[in-house]
Formats: sequence, C-alpha cells, structure tokens
Amino acid sequence: MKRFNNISKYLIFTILISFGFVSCEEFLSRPTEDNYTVDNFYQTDEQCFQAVNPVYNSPWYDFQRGFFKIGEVLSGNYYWGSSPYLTFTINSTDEDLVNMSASLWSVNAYCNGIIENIDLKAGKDVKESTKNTVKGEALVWKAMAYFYLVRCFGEVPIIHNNSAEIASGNYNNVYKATIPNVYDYIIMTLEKAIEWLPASNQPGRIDRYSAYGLLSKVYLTKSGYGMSGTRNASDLAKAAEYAKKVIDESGRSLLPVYSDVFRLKNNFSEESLLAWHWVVSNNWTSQNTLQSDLGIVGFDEYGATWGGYAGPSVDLQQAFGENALSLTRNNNDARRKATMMMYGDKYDYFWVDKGGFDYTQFAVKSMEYQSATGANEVKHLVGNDNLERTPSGTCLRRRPLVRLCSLALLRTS
Amino acid sequence: MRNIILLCTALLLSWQIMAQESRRVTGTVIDGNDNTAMIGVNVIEKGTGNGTVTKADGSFAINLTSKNPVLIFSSLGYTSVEEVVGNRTSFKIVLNEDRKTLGEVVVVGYGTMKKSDLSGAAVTVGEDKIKGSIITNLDQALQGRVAGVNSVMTSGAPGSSVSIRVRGQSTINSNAEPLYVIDGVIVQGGGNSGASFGLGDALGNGSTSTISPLSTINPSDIVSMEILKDASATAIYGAQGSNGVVLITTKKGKAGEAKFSYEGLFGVQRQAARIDMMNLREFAEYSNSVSQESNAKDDRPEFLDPTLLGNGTNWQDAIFQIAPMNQHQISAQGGTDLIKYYVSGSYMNQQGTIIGTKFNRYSFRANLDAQLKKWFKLGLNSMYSMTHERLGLADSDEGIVKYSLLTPPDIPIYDLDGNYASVVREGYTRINPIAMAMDEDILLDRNKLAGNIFAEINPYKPLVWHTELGFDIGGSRGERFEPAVTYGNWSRKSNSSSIQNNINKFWQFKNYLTYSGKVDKHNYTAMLGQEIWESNYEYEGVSSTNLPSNDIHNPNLGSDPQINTGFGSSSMASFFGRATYNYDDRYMGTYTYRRDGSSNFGPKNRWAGFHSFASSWRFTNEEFLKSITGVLNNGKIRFGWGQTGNSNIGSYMWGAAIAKMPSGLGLGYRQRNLANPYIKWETQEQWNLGIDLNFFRDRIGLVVDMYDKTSKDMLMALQLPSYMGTRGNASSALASPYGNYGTINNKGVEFTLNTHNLTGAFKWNTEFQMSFNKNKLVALDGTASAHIEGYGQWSDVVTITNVGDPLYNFYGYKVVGVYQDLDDLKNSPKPEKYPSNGVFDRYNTTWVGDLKYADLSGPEGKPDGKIDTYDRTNIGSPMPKFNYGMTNTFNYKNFDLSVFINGTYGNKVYNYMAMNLSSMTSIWDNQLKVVTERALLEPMNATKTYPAVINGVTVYNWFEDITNVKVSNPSATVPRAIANDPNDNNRISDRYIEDGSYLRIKNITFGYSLPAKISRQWKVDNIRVYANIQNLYTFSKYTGYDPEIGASTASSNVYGLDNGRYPSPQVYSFGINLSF
Repeated sequence: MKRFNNISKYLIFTILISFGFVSCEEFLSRPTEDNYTVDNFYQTDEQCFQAVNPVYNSPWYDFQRGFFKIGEVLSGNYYWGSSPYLTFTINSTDEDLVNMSASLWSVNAYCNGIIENIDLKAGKDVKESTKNTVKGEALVWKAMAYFYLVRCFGEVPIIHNNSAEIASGNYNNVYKATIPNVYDYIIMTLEKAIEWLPASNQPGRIDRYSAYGLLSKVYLTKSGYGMSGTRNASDLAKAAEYAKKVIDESGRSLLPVYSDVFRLKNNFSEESLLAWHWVVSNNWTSQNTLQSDLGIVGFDEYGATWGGYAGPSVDLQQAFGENALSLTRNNNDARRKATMMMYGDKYDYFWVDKGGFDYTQFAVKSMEYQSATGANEVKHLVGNDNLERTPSGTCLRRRPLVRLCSLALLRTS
Repeated sequence: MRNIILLCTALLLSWQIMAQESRRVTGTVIDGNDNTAMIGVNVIEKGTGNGTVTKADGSFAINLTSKNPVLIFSSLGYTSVEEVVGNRTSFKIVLNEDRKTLGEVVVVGYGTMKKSDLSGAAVTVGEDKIKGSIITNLDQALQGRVAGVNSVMTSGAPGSSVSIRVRGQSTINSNAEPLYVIDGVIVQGGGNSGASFGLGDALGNGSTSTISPLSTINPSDIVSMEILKDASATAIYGAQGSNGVVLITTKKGKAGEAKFSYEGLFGVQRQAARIDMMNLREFAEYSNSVSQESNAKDDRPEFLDPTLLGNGTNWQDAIFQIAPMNQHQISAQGGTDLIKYYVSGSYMNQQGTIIGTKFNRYSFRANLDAQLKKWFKLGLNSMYSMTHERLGLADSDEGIVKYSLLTPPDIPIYDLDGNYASVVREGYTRINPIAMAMDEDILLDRNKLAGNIFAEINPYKPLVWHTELGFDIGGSRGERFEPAVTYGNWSRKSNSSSIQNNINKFWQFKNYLTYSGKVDKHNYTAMLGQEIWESNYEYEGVSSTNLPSNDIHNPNLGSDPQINTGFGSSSMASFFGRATYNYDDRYMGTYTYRRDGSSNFGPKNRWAGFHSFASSWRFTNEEFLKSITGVLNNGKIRFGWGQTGNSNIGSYMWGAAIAKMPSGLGLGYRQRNLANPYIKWETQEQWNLGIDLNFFRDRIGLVVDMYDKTSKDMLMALQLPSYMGTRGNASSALASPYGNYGTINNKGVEFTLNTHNLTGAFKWNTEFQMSFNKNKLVALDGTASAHIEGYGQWSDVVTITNVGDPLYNFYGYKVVGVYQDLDDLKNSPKPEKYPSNGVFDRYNTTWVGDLKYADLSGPEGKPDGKIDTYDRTNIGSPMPKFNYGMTNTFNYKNFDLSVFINGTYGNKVYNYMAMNLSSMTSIWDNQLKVVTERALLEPMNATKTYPAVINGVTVYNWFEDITNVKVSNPSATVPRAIANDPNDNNRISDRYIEDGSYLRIKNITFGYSLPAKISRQWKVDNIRVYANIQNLYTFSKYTGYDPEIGASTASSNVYGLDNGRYPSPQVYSFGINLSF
C-alpha cells in the first residue's frame, strides 16, 4: 500500500511537472486582452481613419489651454488677473509654457507613429488611397505642430521618426534645427501631404486644400522671418498662389453670419479648412477646455466654468468701438457681439431652453459683475446643457485653426 | 511531528501504569508567560514509565511508584522542570517558554528551518510586538521594530497603507513594497492607487494611495511575521523577492479542550498638533497692511479696527475631530492530537480624525490541520473579510487639509440658517471644506476570500511532499458621489455619481519535495519544487451626471451614463530548489536556485534564473572556544550572496497597446505607448555579512548585518527629452517605452541589540534596533543627461535624481536672503525679472523684499551673475541617514509596562503646503502666522513727496519708488507680499526644506493580569487589562503636522513631500483580553 502510494504520488508529480513544461509558454503569453494592440489594429479602412481621429483633439489639449494666453493675453486682447502673460513676467519654467511644448511634441510623436504603423501594420484589405489619406492627415497635423513650435519656441529639433530615434539610442544627442530649416521641413511635410491627400475628404477631415491653406499661411509667416519691415517677395507670392488655389479650386465658401462659424451646428462647416474636433466624453483631454477656462462662473450647470473674472481687454473693446462704461452698445462690427458679451447683450443661441442668455440679467441675479474689464468672453463658448452634454464641466467644440475667411483676407492683403 | 508521536507514546504509557497504586500527589501547572493554566503538560515520574498529562484547568494527579520520586514536567516549547517530591503532596509548577527551542523553527520560503541553521538575514516579529501597537493593518506593526526596514505611514487615515522599504529603495518602480505571503499564499492587492478601484483621481494621481491591500487582514490572527532581508533568504522567491519578503503565519490550533478568548479594545484618537495660522485679528491686520502697499486696492472696511474682531473660524479645529475606535475579536482553538482548529471572528470600527473618514472591518478565519494518516496531513487555512471605508482626499492641492488651512478665518462654517457657508470672491472660490468632507462621498467596499488547502505526504520518513492550492478572490466597489448643492453664493447645479465593481481572482498551485537526512555529523536537506500562478482582474463601472436627486446614487438614473470596462490577466511559472547542509552545528550552507517565467515579458526575454548561496560558521561550537561559552554562549558569522528579480511593471509592456480616445470625428484609437519587445527582468544582486553574538546565557544578544545590493537593468519608463513627445499630460501623451534603464545601489549596516537587564521578580528587557542605509543611483540609460524627475502636484519638478546621487533628492534654488534696497539689487546676481532697462516696478519686476537666490552655476558650469535654472541644485535628501526603534518592557508580578520609541535622523521634508500657506498671492487666502514677519518695506526718506519721476516713470507713493524703499526687518526670511509674485518667490527652493528627523514616543502600554485566584472565581482562565497611548509625543523641528511622510500620493519618484498629509493621530486606548 505504502509502496503503491509512493509510486502514484511520484507519477502524479511527474505528470504535473511535465504538463507544466509543455504548456508554460502558452500559459505565459498574454498580450493585452481587453484592447487592441498595434499588431491587430489598422486592419480596415475605418480603423485606419479611427487611428488618426485622436490627433484632431487629445494631444492638443494643453496647447490650446496655454496658447490662448500667448495669443490673446500676451497680445493685450484679454485681461487675465495676475497672469504672467498679462504682465510680461513669464518664467522659463511657466507651467503653461512647458505644457504647450509637451503638447506640440506629443502631436508630432503621434503623427510619426501613425505614419509608421500604417506603413508597417496596415492590413491587406486596407486600400492604398486610405493609407495615403490617413498619412496625409497626419502630415498636415505634424506641419501644424511644427508651425506652432517654430513660432512659439524658435529653433527646435527635427524629429522625423520617434521609434527610430529610440532604437538608435540617439535621442539625447539631437540638435536644434535653424528656423529657416524648420520652415523648409514644414513646407516639405505639407508638399508630401498634398501629394497624398485627396481633393475632398469626409466632412471635418483634412483634405488637399487644408494642406494648401496651411502652406499658404506658412509661406506668409516665413516671408517675414529675418526681414525688417519688409517681406520676402517670393514667399509672399507663394502664399498668394496657394491661397488663390484654395479659394478658386476647393469649392468652399464662407458662412453668411460670422458668429455661426463658432456654433456647434456648423462643426463641419466648409469655411473651416483645418479644425480641432473636441467631444463630450469622460476621456480626459478629449474635451475642449475653453468654456471652463473662459466662461463666466455659473455659465454652465456643473460649477465648472471659472473664467468670468478675466475678460476681453479695454483695448479690444475700443478697437470694436465700444466703451464698457456706456450702457448702450454701438454694434459697429458684427464680430464684436460674437467675441465679447457686454452690458445689454442678449444671446439667443446660449441657454436656448431658458429663452436665451441675458448677460445683464445674469449679473443682476448673481449680484456680481465678474469681469474686471466690463466684458466677458463669447467666442469658443457653447452655453449650458440644453444643446449638448457637458459632463465633468468640459465642453465640446470644434475650434477652427485655418479658416477660409483668413485666407481670403490674406489674398486681399 | 516527532513531538506528537512522543506525546502519544507518553499518553499510552501513562495508561498502562495507572493500575499500580501507592502514593497520590496533585497540583497545577501554569504558564510563566501569562499565568494561565497549561493543558496537556507531560508529568512523568523520573526513571519510571509512570506519567500523566494536565487537564484543561492545568491540574494533574499522579500516583507515585518509586521510592524517592522526582517529577518531570515538560511541554513542547517550554523548559522542562524537575521537582523532587519529598514529603509534598501538592505542587504549583510554573513552566517558562524555552526561548531557544521556540525560536528554533522559523518559516522560510517553501518550508521551515531551524533558526540556528539560517545563514541569511531574517527577522521575526512575534505576536507580542504585533499587539504592542494599536494598529489596523499588520504592516503597521513593522514600524520601528525591525532593523533594516524603513516603514512610513502613507497617511494617518484609518487603515492607511504603509510604505515599507527593506534595506533602502532599490527600484524606482511604482511598487517597491515587499512581497507579503500569508501561510504560503501571495497577498493580492488589486492595485494600490485610487484609480485601480474606480475612484478616478479622488485619492490623488500617484501610483500609491492611502488604500492598503493589507487592511483587509485582521492582525489579531497573526502569530508571527518573518522579514526576509538578504538575497540568500529571498532568492527562493526569485522574481518577486527583490524588495524583501514578509512571511506571515496565522494562528493554528493547539491540542486540548477548546480555549476561547476575547480581545476587546476601545480607543479615542485625536490630532494633537496645530499649524500656526493667522486668526481673524491677525488676518485683518495682514489684509490691511497688504492693502496699504497697494493703494488700498484690496481695502476691506470691515477690518478697519482689527482689535474689535474675535478669533474667527479655526478651520483646523473644524476638520479634525476626536474619533472613537473599537475592535472586538473572539476566537476558539483546540482539537485533538490529530485534528486541530483555530477559528476567529472580529469586528473593527475606526473613525478618522479628519471628519468624514472611517474604516470598518469584519473578518473571519478558520484554520484546520488534520493528521489523516500517519503519512498524510491535510490542512486548510482560510479567511474572509469585508471592509467598508469612507475615504477622503487629505493631501494634494485639492485635499481637505490644505484647502481648510487656506480658507480665511472670516468665513463661518455655517451661515445663519445653519447651512454650510461658502464664499466666492473675485474668482477665488473656497468651497466650504467641512461641506466638501461631509457631502462628497468617496466610498470603498472590499471583500476578500483567501487561503489555501494543502497536503503533506510523508511516504517514507525523510521525504515530504507538500502540495498546495492557494487562492485569493477579492471584490471591491468604489463609489464617488458629488451632490448638487448650494453653499452660500457657490453652487454645483448638477450632481454626479460613479460606481465601479472590480473582481480579482488569483490562484497558485505549488508542489515541493523536501528530503532531509543525517549521516554522522552531516545534516542535509534538499528541496525541489514547482509553482504556477495566475491572476485575473475585471472591472465594470458606470458614471453619470444630472441624477434626479442626491438621494439615490445609482448612476443609471442620471443622464447619459458612461460605461467603463476592462479585464486582463497575468501569470507566472517557476521551478526552484534548495539545498542546505549543516556539519556538526558548526558549518552551515544553503544554495537556492529559481527559474521564473512571467507573462509580463515578451517571448524574447520571458525566463530568467536566480542563484544564491549563504554559509555560516558557529565558532562557539568549536572545541577551542568551548571554554568561553560562559561569556559568549553563541557566536555565528554569516555570509551570503544572491540574485533576485523584479517583474513588477504591469502586463504587456513589451508591446504597444491601443487606447480609445473619442474625438469630434467619431471614435478614435490612439497608440498608448512606444513598445520595447526586448524588455527583461530587473535583477538584483546582494552581498550580506552578518554576525550573531549572545553573551551570558542569552542575557545580551547582538545581531549585526552589513549589506551591499545593486539592482541593475532597472525596469522603468525611458526618460526621454521633451521633443520625443512622451511628456506632459499623462492623459494624452504617448507613454515612453518601458525597459531596463538603470542601476541603483544600496549599502547599509543594521544592528539589533536585545538585553535582559533585570531578570528577578522585577524584569526589564530592552530591544534596540538601528539601521543605516546609503542609496545611490549608479547609472541611468548610459547617458549623462538622463535623470529621474518627480513632481509636486502636477508637473512642477520637485525632485531630480542625477546619476551618482541618492534617490529623490529635492531639487531647487538656495535662498540667500531678501533684497534690502536698490543697492542690494544692483550688486547681487541678476534674477530673471531684473529689469534690463533699470525701470523697476513693484508689480512686475524683482523688487526690494523679494528673495535673493544663490548664484551657483551657469552655462559654463560656474557662477555667471544670473539667477536662472542653472542655479538649481540638490537641496536635501528625504532619505534618513539612519532610523531606530527601542522597546523597553518591565514586568513586576502581574504588572507589565512597555515603552516603545522610534525615529529617524537626517532626512529632509519638503513642506509643499507652506508654499501656498506663505505665498501671499491672494488676499482671500489665510496664511501661516509667519507671514506677519515677512519682509516689511518702509521709506528711507519718509518726508519725500510724491508724485515724483523715477527712471522716467511717474510714481505716486514711496512704496512704488525703488530709490526710496528698504526692508525694515533685514533678517526676514519670508519675502514681501505681492499678488502676482513677479520674482517667483514661491519657486521650489530650500525655503521650504525642513529637518524631518524625529523621535517619537510611539507606544506606552501598561497592563495588569488579574491573579488566577480572582479570575478563576469567574470561571475565566486569564484576564488582562491594559491601557495604551500611541504617538504620545514627537520630538521634531518640523513645523507641519507630522514629520513622518512617506511616498507621495500625487507623483511617483517623490518621497517626504508634505502637501497636507493626513497626520498620524494620537490614540488613547483601553483593552481587555479574556481567555476561558
């Protein structure tokens, strides 16, 4: 009996051990189970488009937050309390500045990754035209990121392929490119994008004319670089040529009412050539923060707007021919009311369920006039929950970056 | 095993001899340890086969047969007593624990060993120490008790986690905690961050939170803990052992009639310390003086005469409460020689000292051992527990501690109607901290079923086959609810609710064969085994906003519920072996090998092997030293080396996963990280040299260990420059690849000294331990510019570890003083905001009264006359130079007193909270009282008239005139008050570095055991009552609440940063232990 026990025990043990050896590799091979990996995504045309969708919002998140301060506060268009952007006291470690830089480089890394993954991993059923379109979209965003980089930070390194830099171990020894070189790189990037992109794409997506439009703006900016009081004529000519190309060939037109370009219903309006596409969701960074950052406290129902104490500057008001100390509005310019709300203004497109938003009544009811300048932001705001869900206090929005209108202006000038 | 057989034999013998009757004696045997009756003590008449055993009440009766009878009283683990009977007929015998015998067998990985055979470094923490502190989790019992272990409470919240570093931080992985193994089963945490429970960022964004996986386990069920420190001891755990291993053994049954015991404890906790903040009068004066310097821009007429004001609201008193706690445990143990059981049930309820926080636990345990056949033993250890916690975010910028301190004393807690007051002023919203703590729910429920079933088969004597199936099945439910509320003129119009359920299933199966043998003086043991485990997790969460009311928290009732789900698994397979050898108790040696395969690595580097050896020499057993055994009764030198590994990185780091990211164009899918298919095991190698010395028959025991351990191929995210696009917002950035990128070295010495100072009726024992550790980042990714960064709250760099530095040094500027006047500004190195055109402006440029930082370096590596980022430097290390603990216990008759102190020396604390509490950037924030001693400005020439033109600009007041302003208190350390802080006086600097050394009177316990005479009358074997004071006083220079600050809950790679850490409470408690 004892002997039998011994034998059976060893037998079982041996079996267990050998079983262990045989199936170990299988037992230990566990790629992500509840999500795709780069190896099993990019199998259909739709997946390839979905792979480029996030570059239309998420990585730009922190850039958008900070860039408002560079574009509007630093320029004096916007009063922002004790912000260092208002008082010209920005330190090199300024949080917004650091985050903006990280955000732009993040866009570049994603775009490089998309191009690489489409080239290496795309399934055999994916159409060649889809691959080109997707890569072209990524290239335009990459060019946009570099365009911001060179304008905000000047000389920056050229990162063409992140995985290659890491694989070669060379990533710590990358040198800055000169500003003209960066512009050349942007232009080359856009030229390649133009080659790959179709003349028209799905609504809201980048097409060939988005790339032309951006290229025109790049040339315009480049034309002034290194010049003093004049512009480089050949660059200017290029800018005009590409702007004309977009105006004449794209078949796009302007929206009749200026403020409509900032309304949600016109998210995919043909006036905008290149736009971020934010969304309502609980994935942080997929949302637009401008309503929170700029909206009056109490503008939404989540207690998540905190921008009311800053507002469009007196200079900007004067440029529109308005004076906050006056109780009547001049409304010389249609863009004024769509840019800033002032005493007496009513907006039928905000708080639609409550019969519109009355700025004066709002201040009366909350017993506080928040803005120090007498005006509050309108542009980029969407209002309350009636039209669109805004959980977590963040709002959805598209934010146009290159509008046809600005190209028309460019061409005119 | 052998003892059971002996006992059986003794029993049988006693029966046989019963028949012969002559002279009868009786008596009782009690345990010298706790004066309880001892059951099952062998009473044998010497030189005869005659004997008996004691009954449940300790009594015995024996008929003597020999002429000059001598009785021998013996019990396993106790020193036997011989009594000459003489004419006596009744005996009262006290048996004392045999320390040598009892300490002899210790748990090691996959088996037990005689303690005297150990060649590695391991420490036992016994039940007495576990019970010496008032603890919620068993890891809290390790504080200050074990040399070489630095143990810091992450928070003072009830049930909070403890960060434990065995012999220094040897990895920068998020999980540097030791491996906990309970009765052979690896404890499953299910993650330690709030996010892993579905609480999002409610408890901070860091990888550690205050939630402890060990708080689900009832410490009263633990009989001992073994802390394995050196690699030769931990190597048998191979890939999981590099942070040290804590082996936990739970109580097992003892043969005999059932013994019930009740342990009850009642306590109150409080926060003793307060930070010196301004009261209302001081706040009003401060407000007035700031407004005077700003053309009365922020003038507040209600503060016109501060002497008329009271103290205002003391927000510290408001958020801290006197919190009760109580715990009760009932257990029963007993059995026969063949089947033994231990069952227990316990309840614990602990309120937190910060309002709104509490912790409840119900736990049950049943342990069973059955000797089914002579060669077959079956065992079952199982526990079930439920915990319910109401958590709160104490630290970080959004935490209640900082939030309440910043809330000014002119805001009341309640308004006239009894509702929470809250005030929004010029965009400075201060949501009422009390309202936040009470109305916003962060709830966590957990349950856990864990244990193992094992069989030990002993086919023939020297061979034992141990087969075991372990399991740990846990579920948890995290809930967050933010109500729709209106506090004063602040309101949140829509509520939000989220609930997430998590399931974790873990099983492990192991087999090992142990063969022991002896030939002459050669003793040897060989063990060979196999283990596999698999761990699965799954979670489903729903969140929504706009629920119809605040009453029902079902997120499905809200608008547009969002669903969040996921699942995954990991697994490991291992083979291991161990050989030990002992020659004549003089020369001992151990060799272990383990080969591990982990699913965390790709096919290229999945498997790794780990070796270790250790040897020791007990020189006091050598013939030539026998003569000194009266002085030195035990002396042993130990030496060992070993490898261990670390695979703690989470799954699928070898590939690139895709993550969902919605966009305005529809669903989007982004690549989550850059892949590294070549990622492999982190390996640690450790040398250990130790000596054990026992003098004067164990009156003095000294253990000294020295170690040198190096972790190489450290698993970490690759530190890439910003242009690689992997920095910034973690929610959107591409994650950098994980790989093997660094080397860390820890060296140290640790001492343990135990002395029995007095051994008579009045006993006095001292245990002292002390450990020194030096830590160094040896290499990082091969390049000179790579470093490790840690952040304060979001992305502000607070720590930088460069190659060659100890880990987690604080990094910032050094403050020299304050600028006294214009000349001082002109003659000092130029800060960034020094106006190049010479036009100073008190609002926008550096000004008199701003902080002057040291010019330490420049682009050329030497001071360049400019204050810029080159001047940042190491401003202190959060790691202690040494830490220590000392316990003194005194026994006299039935009284016992134990005093336990512990502390650290040489560590720095970054008082991050003080940055906001002394920034003076908003007149709507309360500040530390020390800001009243800030750099105060005064005119040099008080008679100068204004307006005047200075540097081409018209100024209207002396305080705007750079040529006519100076600091009136030149030695001020706090800068001037200025709203937008142009000079960045609040930058990371040594202004906020404080000495974190402390000496704490951790525990004082005073107990009294009722004499058996009295307790017997109530049919109770033993009654002990005791009182305990925990954290009575802390000697420290730190100005915050509590200098004991561990890992940051906001960011990895940060240690010792106080951003409002939940301070450890003072606990006054009273307890009673009964057994019957």
